[in-house]
Amino acid sequence: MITLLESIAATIIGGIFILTMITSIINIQAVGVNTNQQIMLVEISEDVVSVIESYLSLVGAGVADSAAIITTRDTLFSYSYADSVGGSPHIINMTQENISGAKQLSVYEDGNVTPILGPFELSDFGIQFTYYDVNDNANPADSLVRYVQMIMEFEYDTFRDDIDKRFIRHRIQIWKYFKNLYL
Amino acid sequence: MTTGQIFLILLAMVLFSTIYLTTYNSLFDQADLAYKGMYLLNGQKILDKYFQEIEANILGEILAFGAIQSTYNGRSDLLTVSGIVYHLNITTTPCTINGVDTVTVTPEFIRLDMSMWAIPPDGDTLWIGMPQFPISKVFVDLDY
Repeated sequence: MITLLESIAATIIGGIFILTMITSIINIQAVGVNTNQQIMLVEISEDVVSVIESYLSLVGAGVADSAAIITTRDTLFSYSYADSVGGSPHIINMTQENISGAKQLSVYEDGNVTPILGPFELSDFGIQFTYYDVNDNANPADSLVRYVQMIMEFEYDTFRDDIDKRFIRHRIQIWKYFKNLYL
Repeated sequence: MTTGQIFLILLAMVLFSTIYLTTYNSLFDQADLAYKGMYLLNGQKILDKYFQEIEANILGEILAFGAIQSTYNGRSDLLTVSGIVYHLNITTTPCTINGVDTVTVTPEFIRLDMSMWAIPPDGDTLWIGMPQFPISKVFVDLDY
């Protein structure tokens, strides 16, 4: 009888032990995947921001100050630049789009339907442009804009799809001064 | 079950717990590093904003080169990004072609040193450029 009880107890304890191990392995895998995705998201968002910044550096290059800034909205920034002083101006639209219910950042040039950059997947927050004049006053007239604050939030899906579902997000905030407009 | 067997089981549990805790600890360390990378990146963007601001104001002759020191030396600012408050401190050092020169009244160069700290949700202070090891940029007088 004692041997039987010991066997039952050992089976129960062993079962709990094996279940704990399996749960641990799943948790470790979930945390590992989420961490990797977070690191990748930071790297990717930094790459995207670097490219976006290089485009924002062109604002007003080779064109008259009055023609540099075209549209200033929360989710759309439109500006012009020229390849050379007095050359043909190009018009750039940086905009947030809603494609299949998801927010995305795309950059278009000269009204083409195919973006030259993007689309980049964003979270529900999307992007937000805030414009400033030379005295740091927010949302001035277009002709007075001298720098922009751009906030973007990138998003990845998470490991678990059932319980405790939390998207992996990275919100990044940059400022870009339009030096061509200061010259 | 003999006493020896009980001790063996206890020993096995202790050893297993050690492996378990070590594995989780290293995972959380990795996650911590990933999040700190995010905050560091945001901090660097704030520092970059100030560098851009000075460059633009000098280019636009809104700020005279000599006024960098009076405007920025000892300046402290707070900026909130993604719910984290970043505390910024700026110091300036006049320099000539021979290096730091605090005596000259007409420095050709001004070194801007920035340090910043923030307290992320984990509660540890995160430094982005420390007072002893700041993030620096040297500005040159365009008339030099």
